[in-house]
Amino acid sequence: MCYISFIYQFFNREGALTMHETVRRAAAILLLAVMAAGLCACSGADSGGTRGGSVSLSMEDPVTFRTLYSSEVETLNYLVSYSAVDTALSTNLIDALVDYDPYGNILPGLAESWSSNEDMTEWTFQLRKGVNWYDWQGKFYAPVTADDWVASAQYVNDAANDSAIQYMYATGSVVEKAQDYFDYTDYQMHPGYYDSTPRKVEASEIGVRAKDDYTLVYTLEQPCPFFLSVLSYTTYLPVNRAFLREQGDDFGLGKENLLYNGAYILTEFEPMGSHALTKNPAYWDAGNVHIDVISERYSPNAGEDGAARYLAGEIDRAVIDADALRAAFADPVMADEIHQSRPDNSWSYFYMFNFAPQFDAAYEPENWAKAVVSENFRQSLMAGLDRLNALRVYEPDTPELLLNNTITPQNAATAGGLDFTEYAALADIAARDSFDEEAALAYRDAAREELSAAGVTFPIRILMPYNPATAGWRQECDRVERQLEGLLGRDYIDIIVEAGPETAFLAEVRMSGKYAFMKCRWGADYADPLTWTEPFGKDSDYNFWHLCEDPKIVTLHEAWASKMSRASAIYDDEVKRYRFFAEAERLVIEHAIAIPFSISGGDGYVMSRLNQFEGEYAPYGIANQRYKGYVLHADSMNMEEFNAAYALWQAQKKMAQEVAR
Amino acid sequence: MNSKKTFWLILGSVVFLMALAVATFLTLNRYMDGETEKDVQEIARVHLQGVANEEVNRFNAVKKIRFAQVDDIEAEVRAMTAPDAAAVAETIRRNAAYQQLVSCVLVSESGRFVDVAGEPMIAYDDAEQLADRLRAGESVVSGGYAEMQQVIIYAVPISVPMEDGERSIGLLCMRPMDSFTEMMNLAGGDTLVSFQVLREDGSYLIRNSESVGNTAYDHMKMHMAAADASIDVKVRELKSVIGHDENYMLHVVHTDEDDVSENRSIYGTVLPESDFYLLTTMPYGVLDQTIEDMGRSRTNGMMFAIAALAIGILLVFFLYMSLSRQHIRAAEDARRIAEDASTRAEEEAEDAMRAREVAEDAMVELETAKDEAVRARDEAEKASRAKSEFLSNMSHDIRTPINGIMGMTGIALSHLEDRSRVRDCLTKIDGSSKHLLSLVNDVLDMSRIESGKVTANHAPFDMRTLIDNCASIVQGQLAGRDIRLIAEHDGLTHTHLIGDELHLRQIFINILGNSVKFTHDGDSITIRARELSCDGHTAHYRFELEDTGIGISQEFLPKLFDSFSQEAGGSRTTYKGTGLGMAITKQLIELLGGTVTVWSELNVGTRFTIDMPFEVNEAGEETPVSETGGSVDLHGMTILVAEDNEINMEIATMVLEESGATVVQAANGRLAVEAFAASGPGDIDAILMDLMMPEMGGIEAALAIRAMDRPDAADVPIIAATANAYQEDVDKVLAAGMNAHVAKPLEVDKLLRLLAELSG
Repeated sequence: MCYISFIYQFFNREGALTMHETVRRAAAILLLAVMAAGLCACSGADSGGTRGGSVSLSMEDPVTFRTLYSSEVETLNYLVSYSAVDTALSTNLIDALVDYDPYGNILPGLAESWSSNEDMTEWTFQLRKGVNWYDWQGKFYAPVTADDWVASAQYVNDAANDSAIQYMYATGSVVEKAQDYFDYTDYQMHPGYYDSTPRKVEASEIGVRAKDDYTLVYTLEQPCPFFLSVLSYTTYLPVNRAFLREQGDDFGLGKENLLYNGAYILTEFEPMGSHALTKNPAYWDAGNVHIDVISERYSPNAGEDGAARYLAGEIDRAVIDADALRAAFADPVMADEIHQSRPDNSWSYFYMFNFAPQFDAAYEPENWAKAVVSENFRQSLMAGLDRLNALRVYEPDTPELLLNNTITPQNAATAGGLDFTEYAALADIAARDSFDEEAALAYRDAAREELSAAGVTFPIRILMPYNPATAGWRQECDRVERQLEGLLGRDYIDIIVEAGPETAFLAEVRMSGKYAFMKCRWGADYADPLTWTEPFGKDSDYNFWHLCEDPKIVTLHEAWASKMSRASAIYDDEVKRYRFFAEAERLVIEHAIAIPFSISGGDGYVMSRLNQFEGEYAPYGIANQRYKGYVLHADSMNMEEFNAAYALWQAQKKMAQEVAR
Repeated sequence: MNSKKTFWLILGSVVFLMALAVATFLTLNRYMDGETEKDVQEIARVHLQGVANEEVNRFNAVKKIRFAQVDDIEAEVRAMTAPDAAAVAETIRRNAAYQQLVSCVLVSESGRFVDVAGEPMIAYDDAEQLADRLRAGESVVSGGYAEMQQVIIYAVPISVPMEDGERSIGLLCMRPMDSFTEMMNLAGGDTLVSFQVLREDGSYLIRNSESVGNTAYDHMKMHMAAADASIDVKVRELKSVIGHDENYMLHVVHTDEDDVSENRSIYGTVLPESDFYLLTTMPYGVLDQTIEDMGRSRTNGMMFAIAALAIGILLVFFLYMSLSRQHIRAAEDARRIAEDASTRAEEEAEDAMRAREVAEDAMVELETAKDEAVRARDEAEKASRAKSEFLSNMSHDIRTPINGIMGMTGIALSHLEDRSRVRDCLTKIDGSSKHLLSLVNDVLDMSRIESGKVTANHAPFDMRTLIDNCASIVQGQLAGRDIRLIAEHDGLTHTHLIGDELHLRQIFINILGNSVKFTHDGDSITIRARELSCDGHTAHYRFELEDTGIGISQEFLPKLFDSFSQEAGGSRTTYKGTGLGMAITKQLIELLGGTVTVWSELNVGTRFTIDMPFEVNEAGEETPVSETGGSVDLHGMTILVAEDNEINMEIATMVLEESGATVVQAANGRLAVEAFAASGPGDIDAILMDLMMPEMGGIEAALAIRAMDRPDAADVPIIAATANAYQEDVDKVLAAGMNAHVAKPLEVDKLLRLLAELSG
């Protein structure tokens, strides 16, 4: 069944491509032959490469995908790190309870099936049998059992292990006693930080329990309909308790200090040198792993010489620098190999107004504080900001691909057959471009009159910092400054673009309130609109509107908080939950508390022998980083092919979601 | 025997009668308590129902007036002949102003909400539901937010023309929520009860001071689950009645934040024609007191009855006792015999007791030993934990500057044409390198001190100069900050001393360095030296190093000198050093025969008091200071550099050549010996010798050069340059005939000066 659907999808997709059709058809036929041979040879065995409990990792003429990397992983300990560089390895080495298809539907992973109680506070998973842990040489270590998830939860929630992603147990999905255990263990390390002694909690009280070797139960403190979507996050990956104990602090130090149960085994790990991931022949879903070896070489200049090395046939994927794009497209050989990355809607960018400015007196924070509470003023910037013009820095020809009209991007959350942005409260906002010169000027005139009376001096100085380490941000700020000042007048606003520190930018600038108007971003952790509200929540260190004492802002914040708390409390009516979340988001946009801007452009423009639409996909978390499902093609798509494939993928995704519903 | 039997029979009867009386009274008491509680609950229910109904009536009355006021607007519109949209809007605006409404909104057939008068509305509790009810022809009370405040909405179905051509399905008139709360008397005032108004999903419309969470259910789960296992069932029941036209009563045990529990009754009722559900809560505080008082008086009465009964029975008993006294006397003899036997038994028992005490002592000793073992284990575990934490911190701290160095190097390499960028990168690399070096130095120092390899120096020095030097170093660190540095050393009589100036300076700089870090602008730092006593040979000094900075917490103070300990080691976002500085300082003080104590108070300041003896330098010599400034010119000099590391070789060559010297390179000791041998006598002016090199090390090479039979072999200056920076290394170098030793990384000025000096 699985092969049939794969063949169907494969040919369906190929039907839209023209340039490389012949090669791909041939590859498909070859692949089918290999699969058929595999089927005959395996005759039902699930581990063709296993011998005496261990697996052989050597193979003749492996299908190898070669690429460069310029940032080294900080740690292989997947239970503590959220860095995308780190998770890119771990998600391929350790399998999760659930898997994803290429359209974002959740599929069984290490859990074969699951069920929840009526109010979705207890989730029971039946684990796949016959899955094992192997060391880096393929030597059998132990079977994968339910205790591996219990051990993982106990490790992550022990404050002594200093996991940066412990919060995944305490927000959104709230695992019973996880936060209490964390607080208790933290108290033991830092009793001085606590006013009172937290209640003693044992690790065994955390709501993750092994009913037997293959039955795992999560108990939550509140109903969580989207619990499955948190499960592929690294803190919910399993770990073998005995191995963890044996390794102690060395866990995740090198390839020898990890165990593997996923699609690949890390057979080479030389920091600042190279990585090699070799296919795990005993992997339960080995039939969907089509690349035998992933070979990554360290190159600090990957961005500069990647294209040349790709063209020389040394590597199979290269990212094209935005500055080099025009020249690359002008070269017909290169142009035929370059295509865009799929826009990544797991990130949302938005311009924020700071309601509690903490910046230097030179930038007139008091004047700004008086101005920012005026809705006319905020609306003048919102209507005045030509977002497409700003986005041309990243997408010179098709900036609209990145444009996002809501905080929650399209296709990020769906309920009752409607995308979140299609709910009545957001539908008109999602469909419009907020840029409207005429309206901007009208708002400006109204604001000028209102603010002059309030004693605001003009031009209003607007401190707009950027992180110089982020490619394109400075150019974007320059464009925004020129465009907004040009439209609204330099006698009205004076945007001051200033570089912030390269390291700890967020802590120094955004979290410290040292900006007036700045682009911020948020990435989804799970599949529920709640995840996108975090930047506006109580104690948020984004725009500090909860600290503002202006009565209009106070009422707006109260109205938003009331909608939010009502939405969060609805567990039994997903449509109503979404409706209230949508109404809350409308408040934020309609009253220009934030200006929605864009989604992420992924890696931008690439040359790659991988077809991004073949891999797993989820609009949150780390499933997108898996190599499983990818086939190594003879060459890279060009833009025409990419556009066709993207359109086809969107149609297929819609269809697949309909079927899933 | 017979009379004894009778005695026991009667005593038994007395006890039985007494027990029976007590049991009867207790049962009766409990029964009456239960009955009283039922009665009180019933009273509470009736009271609550009464209070709630009063609120409902008040709500109905308010609502009736408000709806009537909306109807007035409608009547006025209806009275108009052929009303158009503009006239309708004007009528609404006029009425809104007259009735002092916050805002007025018309709802269109398509469900649009159009602001007509007053503040613009920014949110409705549930606009969709509101429109549905208006469409169904119902008047309804709901909630929402206008631009400046939370409002209560009185919505009445009205069909009038609207400005965009549609007809309306309803008119909403908004009034301040605060005025509604006041009018309904929902604040509770001095009454026993408190109110909360909920929406149909359990969320709060009007909270009271106790409301927590998003919904009333959250409140119940958070504050009523501790003492009530069935709270989930009660929450489900309440959920099922809210939103329906049902009243509901429940009794719960409420536990507040201080863990104080009390019984409460909660009565829920729908506010008619609205989205609201009223929860009225009555705490049992007062009723509990009443029940308790009643129970107490009843118990007192019963105790009195029991006492009277007991006295009666005892009287009977004593009467019998006097009659049977003769029998008792006869029994005396028998008892005496029994007593003798008993005495013997007691003596034996005493022996047994003594044996037991000995055993118990042994047990106590065993327990103490066990406790000590546990303590020792805990200590060991703690030390090991601290070490692991240290290692993890160190790996982070070391990695951070390395990352900086690598990152900046990368940036510099890719922007070679941009000189200011490269300079900026190099400045940052320099900073990171220095930080890294200080980390490594600290760790090495500590490990050397701990392994006892550090010894105290005895050399003449001047205390006053030392303190002034330290003060000027610290003053340098304070540049650009508003912190006052005071150095006091007046009244010292013996300042020419013999001791370990280097380590003493390190002690002062370590402590003062911390003061610099932990003081704010406006604070002061003081270093004070006093001579406590002197017998002519030994001077006892007291140093006080104090600051008015942020101070150290009392919890941390005892751990201040522990290795690897740092206050507030939670989030590591900035450099905080290695956690070894103070441990090194204490070890050094002890090495120099001194003692140290610390006083500190948060936000007041910190004072270190160091007492230390010094030998008085009776000769009164001062150590010469040989720091000469200015640049050094090595023109005309030829210097042989033996170094196996290419980068180090390049650095050394560049530095020397820039100062005018000619460099002869040798990649190891053997090549250096050959190069020297191949040169003419006097051609090589000096040799810079690395120690650890392949094929032939620096020591061996120096020995070989000194052993050569040529005029300059004995006195060509050889300077060892090595990363091995300890005293024993220096000794080895000098023993091999080399002239001096410089530590790596090379301090350029020092090296050049040394070369210039040695070469004459």
